[in-house]
Amino acid sequence: MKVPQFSESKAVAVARTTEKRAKVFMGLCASVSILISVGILFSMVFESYKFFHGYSIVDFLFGLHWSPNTYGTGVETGSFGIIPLVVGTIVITIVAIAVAIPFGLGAAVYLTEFSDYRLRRVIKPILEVLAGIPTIVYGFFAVTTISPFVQILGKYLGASVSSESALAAGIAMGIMIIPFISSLVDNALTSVPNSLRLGAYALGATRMETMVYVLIPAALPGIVGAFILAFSRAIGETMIVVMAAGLMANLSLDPLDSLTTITVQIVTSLTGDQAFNDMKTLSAFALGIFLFVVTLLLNVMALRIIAKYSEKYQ
Amino acid sequence: MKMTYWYNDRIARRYRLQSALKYVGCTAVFSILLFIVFLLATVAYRAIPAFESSYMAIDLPMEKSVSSRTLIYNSLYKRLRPSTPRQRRMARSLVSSQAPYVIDAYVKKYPGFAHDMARVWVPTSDVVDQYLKGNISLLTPEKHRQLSNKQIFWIDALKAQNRISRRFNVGFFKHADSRDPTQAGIFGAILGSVMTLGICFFLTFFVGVFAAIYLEEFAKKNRISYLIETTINNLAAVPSIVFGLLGLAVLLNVFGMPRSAPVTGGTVLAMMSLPTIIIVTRAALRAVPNSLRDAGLSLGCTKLQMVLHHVLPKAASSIVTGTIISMVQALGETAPLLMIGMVAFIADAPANITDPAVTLPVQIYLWSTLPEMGFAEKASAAILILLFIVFTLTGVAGYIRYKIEKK
Repeated sequence: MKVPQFSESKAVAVARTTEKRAKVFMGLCASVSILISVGILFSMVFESYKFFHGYSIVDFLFGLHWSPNTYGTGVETGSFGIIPLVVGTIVITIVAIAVAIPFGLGAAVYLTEFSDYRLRRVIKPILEVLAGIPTIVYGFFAVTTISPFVQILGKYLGASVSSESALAAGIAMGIMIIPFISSLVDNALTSVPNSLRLGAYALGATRMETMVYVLIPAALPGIVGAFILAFSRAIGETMIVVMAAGLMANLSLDPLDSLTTITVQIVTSLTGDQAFNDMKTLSAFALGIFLFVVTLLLNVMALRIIAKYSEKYQ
Repeated sequence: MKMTYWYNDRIARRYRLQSALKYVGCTAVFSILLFIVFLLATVAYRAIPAFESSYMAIDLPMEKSVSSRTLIYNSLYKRLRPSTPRQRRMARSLVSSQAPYVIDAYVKKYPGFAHDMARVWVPTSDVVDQYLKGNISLLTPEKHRQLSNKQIFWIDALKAQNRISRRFNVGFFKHADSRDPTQAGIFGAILGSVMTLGICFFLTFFVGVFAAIYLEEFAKKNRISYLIETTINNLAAVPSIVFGLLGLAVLLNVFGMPRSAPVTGGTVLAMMSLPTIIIVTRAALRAVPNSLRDAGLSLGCTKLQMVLHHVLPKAASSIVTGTIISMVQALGETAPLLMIGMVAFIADAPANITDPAVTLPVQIYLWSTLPEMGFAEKASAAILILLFIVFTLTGVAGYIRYKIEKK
């Protein structure tokens, strides 16, 4: 018996090649993101390699003085020690988190468990609006309103507050990350299976008991992940601290002092006029790669925690 | 009759705790609302004066031989009668440095003015403007004040004669930046923002959507697609300033793109918003039901036809929403632009995408670092305009999403 032969019509052949070409083109588009990452890594590593050629990496990571302007002038403290910047960043971030967590968590708890859906429908877009406000606005607000307020309050309480206090910058940053935290916590709480909630109610738990003893523990990994993401975001935040925090690197844990951060130093060392291969310019890239690695690690950690937790309920 | 049991107290206590938690949450929500209202109110309150500026009437005699500057000074001397050189200097400093140009424009418009005396309104200097807006207190001793007693006497006298007035500051919307706060405007910054965002949009939107289609519809689940996925997720969380450093090292120093130009700024912002667009587009594609795909394929579509003709149109409005949100983010971004030198003082609006320019948030930053009071109110006004744009765009995105959800 003769087997019928089908030859592909021309139209089908054309469709097949278009399909292939389109697929290759789209694949290329997708790999642009890899190109960007590689670009970031290479440029950072290359520039900071030049920096570490002239400055020891141990002194950079563990040095207690940051004063790039006097570097090479023979002054002993002229050096690139990152510790004061890291401490400043952490202090400001902790203030921010301390401001944001009560409000963010409180709002999320209220919206998931206590409010009726109409209020929720109004509040959620408002929180999104708050999240959409550019950070420069928070920076301006910190300088013109929060900072003078903190100073007056400090004077009233008998404490000396610097005009560029870490506290003011931290508060502004805290307000900025409230919507971020509340929406992530909200997600974590709403993705707890309803059966757990109903089970708690069936056992006679009040809403508060359901929330505190059932929902929050169940969503805890998600909540912790949210806090870590918020922390990482606060570390990388630039404009608020450039405007409201100090420029001088003081090694201090006091939030009333003027402290500086990694991002502030990146901006100040790159916005002046200097040669590109200057040590001060190169130090910005060393700081950049430090910032990149730290935020990346925090993000990977947070996403791992969240992923593991969502696995548990699927 | 109500029965008393040993556990009644406990139940009451448990419910008290519940309402306590409820009130704590309620307080948190309303404090957040209060924050927003307070923030907007303070910015708006500071911004309002910037929309008005002060003008002074100058009487011009017909003297074509002298410069406009001299015309203004002569007119001022004639009216205010300063007696010493120092007082003359004080009288001169009442008008803006831009005033001669206003006179020039007037003379050009009416070449031979028919009557002997023409009255022209010229902008006052920033200090006079600030005094008229009530920002300079008479209680501060003369030495620490920017205006002397004599100058204040003159201003009050001129005001009494209706020779000083406050008008809507049209220049704020028409001019680019200036060293003189009364002349500084946001037109240049808005144009810069439009150009930068335009570049950013064209670079990200198509690449982003195609990348998302590839990852969601075509890519096999293997190591490479997993690598791309994790890269995108991590890139989305990289601090924006790092993209600025990338722009400085690669775009400026390797590719030699122009410093401070919208084309460079737009490229940096594009690298920053690409992951966001890919993520939102993927979410939009994922939300399209599989039955649609199966129907398309079963009718003989190729995969590409199925995606382009059936899945993509269905996901379009979600993609638009996500794109708007990520463009709004890019619009408000400042830090990466500082890294590529978009912080210079630029007195002209950019004519094309390779000219030096600033964007709206950078202009706010520049103004807020200047000591003159006139610039502080300008910064607030620029914030108000930036927020207006941001809220409008977010509102549009929200409306589109609301429509989708309703469907």
